[in-house]
Amino acid sequence: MQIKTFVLGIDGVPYTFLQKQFAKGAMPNLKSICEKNGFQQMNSVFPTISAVAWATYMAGVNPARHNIMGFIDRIPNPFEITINTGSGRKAESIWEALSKKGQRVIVINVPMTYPPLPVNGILVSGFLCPDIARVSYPADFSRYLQDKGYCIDVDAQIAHESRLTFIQQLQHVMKNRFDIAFDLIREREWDFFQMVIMETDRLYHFFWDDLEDGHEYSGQVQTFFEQLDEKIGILLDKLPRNSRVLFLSDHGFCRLNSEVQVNNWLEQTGLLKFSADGKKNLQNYAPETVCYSLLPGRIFLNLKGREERGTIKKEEYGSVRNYVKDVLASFKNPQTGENIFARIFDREEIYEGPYLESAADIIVHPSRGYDLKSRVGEGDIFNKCFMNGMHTYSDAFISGINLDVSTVKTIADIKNILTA
Amino acid sequence: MDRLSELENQSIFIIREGYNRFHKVAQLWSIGKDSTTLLWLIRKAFYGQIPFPVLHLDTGRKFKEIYEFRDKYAKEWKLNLIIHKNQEAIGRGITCNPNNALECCGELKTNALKQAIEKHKFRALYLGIRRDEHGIRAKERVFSPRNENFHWDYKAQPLEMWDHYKAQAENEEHLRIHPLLGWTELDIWEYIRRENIPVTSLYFAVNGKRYRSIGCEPACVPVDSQADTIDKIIDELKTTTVAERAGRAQDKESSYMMQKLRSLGYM
Amino acid sequence: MNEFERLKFVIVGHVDHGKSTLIGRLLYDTNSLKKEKIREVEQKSGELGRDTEFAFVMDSFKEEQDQGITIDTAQVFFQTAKRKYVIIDAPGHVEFVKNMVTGAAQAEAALLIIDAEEGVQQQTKRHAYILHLLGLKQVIVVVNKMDLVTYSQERFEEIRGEIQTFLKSVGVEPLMYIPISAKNGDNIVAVSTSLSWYDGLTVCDALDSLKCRKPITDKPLVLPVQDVYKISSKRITAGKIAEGKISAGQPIIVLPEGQKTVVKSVEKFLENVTACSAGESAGFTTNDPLFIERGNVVCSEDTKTAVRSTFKAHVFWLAKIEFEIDYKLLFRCATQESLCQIVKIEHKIDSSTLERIDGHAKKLKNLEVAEIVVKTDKPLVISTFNEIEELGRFVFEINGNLCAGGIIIDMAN
Ligand SMILES: Nc1nc2c(ncn2[C@@H]2O[C@H](COP(=O)(O)OP(=O)(O)O)[C@@H](O)[C@H]2O)c(=O)[nH]1
Repeated sequence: MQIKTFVLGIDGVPYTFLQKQFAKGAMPNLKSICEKNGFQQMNSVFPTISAVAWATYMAGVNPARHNIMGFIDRIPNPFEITINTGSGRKAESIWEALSKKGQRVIVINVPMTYPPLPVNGILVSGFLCPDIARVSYPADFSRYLQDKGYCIDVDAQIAHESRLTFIQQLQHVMKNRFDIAFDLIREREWDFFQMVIMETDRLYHFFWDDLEDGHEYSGQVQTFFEQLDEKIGILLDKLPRNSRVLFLSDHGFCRLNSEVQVNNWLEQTGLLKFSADGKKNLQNYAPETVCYSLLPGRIFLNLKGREERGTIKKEEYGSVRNYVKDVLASFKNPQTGENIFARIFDREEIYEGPYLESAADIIVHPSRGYDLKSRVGEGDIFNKCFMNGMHTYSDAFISGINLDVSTVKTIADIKNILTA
Repeated sequence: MDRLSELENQSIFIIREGYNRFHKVAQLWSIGKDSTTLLWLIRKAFYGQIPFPVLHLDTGRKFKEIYEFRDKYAKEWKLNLIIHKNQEAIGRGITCNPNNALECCGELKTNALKQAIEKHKFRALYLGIRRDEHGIRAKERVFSPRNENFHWDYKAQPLEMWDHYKAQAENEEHLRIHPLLGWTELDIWEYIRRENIPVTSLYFAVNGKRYRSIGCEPACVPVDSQADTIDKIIDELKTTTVAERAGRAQDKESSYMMQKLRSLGYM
Repeated sequence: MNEFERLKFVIVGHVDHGKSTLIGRLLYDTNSLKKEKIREVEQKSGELGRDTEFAFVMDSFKEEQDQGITIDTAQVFFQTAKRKYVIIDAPGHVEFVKNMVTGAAQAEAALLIIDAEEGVQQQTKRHAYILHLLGLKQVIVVVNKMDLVTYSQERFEEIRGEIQTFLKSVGVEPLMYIPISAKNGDNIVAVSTSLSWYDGLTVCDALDSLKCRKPITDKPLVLPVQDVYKISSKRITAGKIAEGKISAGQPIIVLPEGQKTVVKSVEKFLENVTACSAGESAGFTTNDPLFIERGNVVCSEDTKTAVRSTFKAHVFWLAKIEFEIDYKLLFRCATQESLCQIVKIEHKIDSSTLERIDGHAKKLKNLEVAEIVVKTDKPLVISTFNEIEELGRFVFEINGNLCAGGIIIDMAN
C-alpha cells in the first residue's frame, strides 16, 4: 500500500520562535516531534513574501522558472498594476506532479492556488480567493465546505477595529480548518494531504509585540499556539503509523520597527520623478525616472523599449544598474546610520530560467526591522504602522517524520523530496 | 487596399476558381454567420446568379429562427436550395443529443453529406471554415482533398503556391474549397457590418446570453454576453481576442483582492 | 493600431533552430493566447518533464508534439500595438520543403532563424534560396539560442558574417540581424538586458517596421481572365487584376491573339463603379463582342509583356516523382495552361551550396533547383519575373498535382 504523506504548512512560524517555545516547555506535541525527528532552520526566497515562497515550495524551482514574482506585478507598457493569480504559475506543483502519477491528493488553503486548478482529488484554494463558491476543485466540493462552516480567511480589516475579535476569529478559523481536515483524513481516499495554516502569519503581523514583550494580548496569543499544538497532537493520532509527515513554515518573522516607503525615498534621491501636473502615482511617473519599486523591494529600471516611458538605453543597462545599486547601498537610517538594505541583488544572481525577464532588475532585502513598502507620493519615507511583525528570510523551519529533510537548505528543495 | 477588401477579393477569386475547375459544386450553408458570409461572397462572385446549388443539411432539431431565416433568404436571393435530411437515421430515432455529439453529428451531418454528394455527384464543396477556429484548422489548404470516407490526409497535403491550387479530384475524392480560410471571427463580423449582411437573431444577446456559433443545435450552448448589436459583438470580440492576460486577476476579482492585500499592507 | 492592415510573414530556417518556439513566444509575450491554450501547452510540457515548451503552441497535431517537429505549415493570428499579423509557420525539416514553400509563397516578409550554437545549416541556406526564388524582399535574420552561447557578441558576428556572404550571393539583402533567445524571451517583445551590446530593434519592433505589400496600381494593366459569365444579357469577363487599373472607356488588348477593343462597363454586384484596380476581383464588358476565354490576358497598349512558347526559367522541383526530360508536363501561369516540355536542363544548382552541378542532366529530383529551357505547346503571355511578377512565375503539374514552382528569367526568342 502506498505510504501516506501529510504536509502541514504553518505560515511564517520562525525556527527561533519554536526554539523559545520548546525551551519554556510550551507546545509539547510539536516539541516532541521535533526532538525525535530533527528540526532545522530553513531559508525562504527573495523577495520574502508568502505568494512567492509558497509558489517556490509547490513548484520546487526558483521564481524565474515559475513566474510568480510577488502578490502584485506590473505590465510595463502601457503601465498597469495587476494582481497575480495561481494560473500565472509556469511550473508544475507537487500535487499536479503526484496527480499525474495517479496519486490521490487533498490540498487545502495553500496561498497562490486560486483559481483552483484540476488535481486527482480535491483542491481548496486559499488566500485571495474572492468567493467560497469558487474556492474548490471540483467546484461542488464547496458545498461540503459551506455546510461545515469553512472560512477561507479572516478579514484583516477586523484587526483594525477590534484586536480581540480578530484573535478570537483566528483561533476559531484555525481550529475549524483542522477539524475539516480530520474528517477528510477519515472519509476520503488519499495519498498526499497538504494543508496550510495562514492564521499564524496574521498573528505575528499584528501581535508580535504582544508575544515578545508580554503586552495586552500575550495571553490570547499564547493560547492560540497551545490550541495549534493540541490540533497537531490529534493530527498525529489520526494518521496511520507509518505516514510521512512534514511540518514547515514559508518564512520567519521578526519585529517591525519601521515601514520604509521605497518609492518615496527613490523620489527624494531623484531616481523617481513625477510630471508636475497630474496625480502622483506610478502610472504617472515621468520619463526622466531611472527606476521605481514594487513591493517588496523589487526595483525596476526605466528601460527603453520595455517600459512605457522608458529612457535608459539598453547599452547603459549594466552601468545604470550598478549606479542604482550604489545609491541603494548608501540608504541609511538617518538616526542610527544603519543600512536599510542588507542585501542588494542583480536578478540573475538569485534567479535563473525562462521567466527571468519578468523579474525586477534589482531585488533588495531589508535589514532586520525595516519592512519595505511602495507607497507613492504621500507621507514620509519612514513610518510606524499598525502592524508590528515582518518577514525574515533565513528563519523558516522544517521537520519531518519518516522523511529525511537534512538536505533541505531552502524552500525550493522540498518538492524533490516529496515527489521522488 | 484595406484588410476587409483584400479578404473579399481573394475569396471571390477562390470562389470563381472553384466553379471554373469543378462545375459540379455546391455550397454548404448552415445558416450561421460564416456560411452566410460565404454565400454573400458567392453572390458577389456571380453577380447574384449563383450557377450551383446551396446545400442545407437538416438535422431536424434546429432553432425555429434558423428555418425562418433560411426560407426567407432562399426566396429573396433566388437560391437553388437543396435541403437534405438523413431520413433513414432520423427514422431510426437518432436525434441531436448534446450528450452524444459524436453519434448525432456523425449520423445526421456526415452521413447526410455523403448521401447528398452521392445523389448529386458533387465534385467539390464550398465550406466557410476559418483557420482561427481551432488549432488543427490552422493547417488547412484552400483546396483540400477528401477521400470517399471523408478522410483528410494532413500528412500529404497538396502544394499550393501563388494562387495555384489543386485543380482535379481523383476518382473517389471530392475537394473542399475554403474561401474564408484566411478570415478571423472578427473579420467576419466587421465585414457583416460593412456589407449589412443579414444574420439570424440568435447571435444577439437576450437576457445576458447569446450564441457565438450555431453549428450544432442542442449541443451549442449560449455564452454570457450583453452584446445585442453587431457593434457590441465587435467590441466584445476585440476585448476577448486581445486575450485575457494569463495568470492575472480579472477586473471582477481584482477589487476584492486589492482590498485584501491592502488590509495586510501589501499594496 | 492600424485596423486596416494585416501583414503576413513566414518564419523559416533549419529544423530545431527554434521557429515554433519563437512563434510561441511572440504569441505569449503579446498576450495573444487564450488561457486554455496556455494551460494545455504547460500541461503537455509538464508531462514530458520540461520547462514550458513554447513550441507546443504551434504544433497542434499530436504526432508533431511527440516527435517534436513541425510537419506542416500553419497560420496563426496575432497583433501588436501597431497592427495585425498572420504568422506562417513553415516546417524546417528537409522532408517537408513542399509545405514550407506552400507557406512561404503567401508571405510578404520572412524571418530566417539560425541557431547560434549550430550556426548556418543546410536548410538555412536552402530556405534562404527559396525566399529568393519566391521573390521575397523583406527578410530579417534572427540568431536564436543566444543563451546557449553566453550571449556572445563575437559568436553573433561570426554567424552574421557567414550568412551575409551566402545571402548576398543569392541576391537576398536582409533588413536587419537580431540576436535573440526565444526560450528566455530575450529581444522578442522585451529588450534583452543580457544582450546590451546589441542596439537594434526587438523582433516585435522589427516586424512593426515592415511594410505591407501594396497592390501595383501605377503600372499598365495586367488582368488574367479567370472566367466569362453570361449574366442577364451581358457577357461579363472576370478576373483578378494583377497590375494597373481598368476603367470604362479604356482601350484594351486581349492577348495572346491581340484583339483590340474598348471597355464598355466595369461590373460589381450591387455597386455602381466605373473602374477597378490591382488586387480587385473585377468584371467588365467590352464594346465589341469578342471571344474572350479563361487564359487570355487583358492588357493595355503599353504593358511590357510578350507572347512566347520558349523561355528560360529557374525551377524548384518539389515532388517525390523523378522527372525525366521528355515527359509532358502541364504548365500553369496565372490562369493560362498549356502542356509543355523541358527541352534542356542547362545546369542544376545545389540549393545549399549554390554550386552549379550536372552540366547536361536529363533528370530532376525532389528539391533540386535547375536552370531550364521550357517549350510550351501553345504560345503564352509571359514576362520575366522581375518585370511582371504574376506573368513571370509558374507551376508545373503532373496528374493533377502541383510538382514544381519556378520563375522566368529570360524570354529567349
Ligand atoms: N536554449 C534554448 N533553446 C531553444 C531556444 N529556442 C528554441 N529552443 C529549443 O530548441 C528546440 C527546437 O525548437 P523548435 O521551436 O521546436 O524548433 P523548430 O523545429 O525550428 O520549430 C526545442 O527543444 C526548444 O526548446 C532558445 O532560445 N534557447
